[in-house]
Amino acid sequence: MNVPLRIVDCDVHCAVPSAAALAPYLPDFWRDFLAEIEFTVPQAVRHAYPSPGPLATDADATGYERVSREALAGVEAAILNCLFGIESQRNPFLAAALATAVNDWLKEEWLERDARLRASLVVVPHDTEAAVAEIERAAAGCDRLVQVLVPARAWEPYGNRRYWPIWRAAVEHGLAVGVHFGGLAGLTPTPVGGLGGYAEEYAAAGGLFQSHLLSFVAEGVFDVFPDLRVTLVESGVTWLPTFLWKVDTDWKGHRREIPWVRERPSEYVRRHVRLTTQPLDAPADDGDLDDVLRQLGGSELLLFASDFPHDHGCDARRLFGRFPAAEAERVAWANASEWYRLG
Amino acid sequence: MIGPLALFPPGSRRRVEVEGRQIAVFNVDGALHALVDTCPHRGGSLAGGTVVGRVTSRFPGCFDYEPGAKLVKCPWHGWEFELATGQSWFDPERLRVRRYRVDVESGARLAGEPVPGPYIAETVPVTVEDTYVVVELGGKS
Repeated sequence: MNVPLRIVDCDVHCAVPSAAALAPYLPDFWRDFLAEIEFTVPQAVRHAYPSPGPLATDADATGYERVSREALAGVEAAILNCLFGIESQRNPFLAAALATAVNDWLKEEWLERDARLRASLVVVPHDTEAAVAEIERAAAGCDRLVQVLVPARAWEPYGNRRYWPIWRAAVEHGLAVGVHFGGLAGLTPTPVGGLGGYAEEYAAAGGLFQSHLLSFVAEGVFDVFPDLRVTLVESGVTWLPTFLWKVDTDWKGHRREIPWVRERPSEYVRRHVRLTTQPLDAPADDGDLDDVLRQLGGSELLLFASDFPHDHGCDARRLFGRFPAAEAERVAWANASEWYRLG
Repeated sequence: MIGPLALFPPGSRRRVEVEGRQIAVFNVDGALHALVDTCPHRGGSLAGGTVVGRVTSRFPGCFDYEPGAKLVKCPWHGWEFELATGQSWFDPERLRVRRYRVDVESGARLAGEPVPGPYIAETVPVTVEDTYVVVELGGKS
């Protein structure tokens, strides 16, 4: 296997260890209010990665010491994604205060500490105005926040107009938008609604991402925001070619309904969308994997990610051996460097 | 020659056979168009399709509709072809259906007479006063 020398890990998790950790970043009222109600950090990560199991993790695993020692070893840069579960807070004012606190905590406790790190900022996805305000506040003067993070479980497919101001703010501040697997209970975990358990949600994740992807294209978001970059994080990748075959084919006959979609949907995806490589939902046979990668159009859409500390039972570094050196380098580093403008 | 103009009234779509070729003839408000009657996708008969106006867009929710610029939608899968050019909407450079030049000619001229006078009716009875639709198989536009 030819292992590229430079690697950007596009999905490394960190977690707020306790409500107390956010206290320095909250206004007095909310700090005391959280104490009054004995607030605990939403179990977003544990919800998305239930225990027991290899995907489960403990607070130590997402603290700086272990991330630094294990995730950042041999890595040139990493994108931190903090799944805090802002979307679980139905009180919009508390939610906004928490988003601000998490972002300041990310800057202070992580970005200030390690030059290799970049981070996604969190927002309140169901309060557009608050999300826009937080993007403007957090991104101002900080080039280490490179992405706006929203959960795959959502109130509406992300092409919906209610979200457009958030996407506009992301573009204006040079940020990508990361749609990440998971999101809290109460929001639909599949395109058809709620269901029984994690096993189904985890296996069916591709369907939810497909709904968002199609929505972005069909509702014309990429026409309105030609500089918008959408990263599908922890989405799996091998479902994409077959999905695009169908969408492209159907577009030829159905496009009168959505005439602003002027090109094949797959063209929009190539320009505006990237996918992280973990979990690598690939066939075990290398020849079969090579077929899928060829159908994907090569290395162009892929951003290497470990999803540290979650173990999906597949190592995305396997991809490096499936490409010629120059393309492996793209997956490992160059694609992410361009996508996130790491310069 | 594929028949008297009366067989192709405005709004009509008709499949005709000329020298073994299936051709779809459309009369859109008096303007005649002839396309190969086989959709390049899966072979649907375009003569069975719906004639629609062109719709484009400058932004989501915007429908720039040109009802006079006609396309035919294949009845099978909805692919659109411009009647005036045969070009497909979604890939006009690479995918098109062949278009034939189509004209309306007088029966007299079809009968081979050099600019007949009114009296020519005597030599080509009945039909000379009609007009006919003529498709030129060699022409490609």
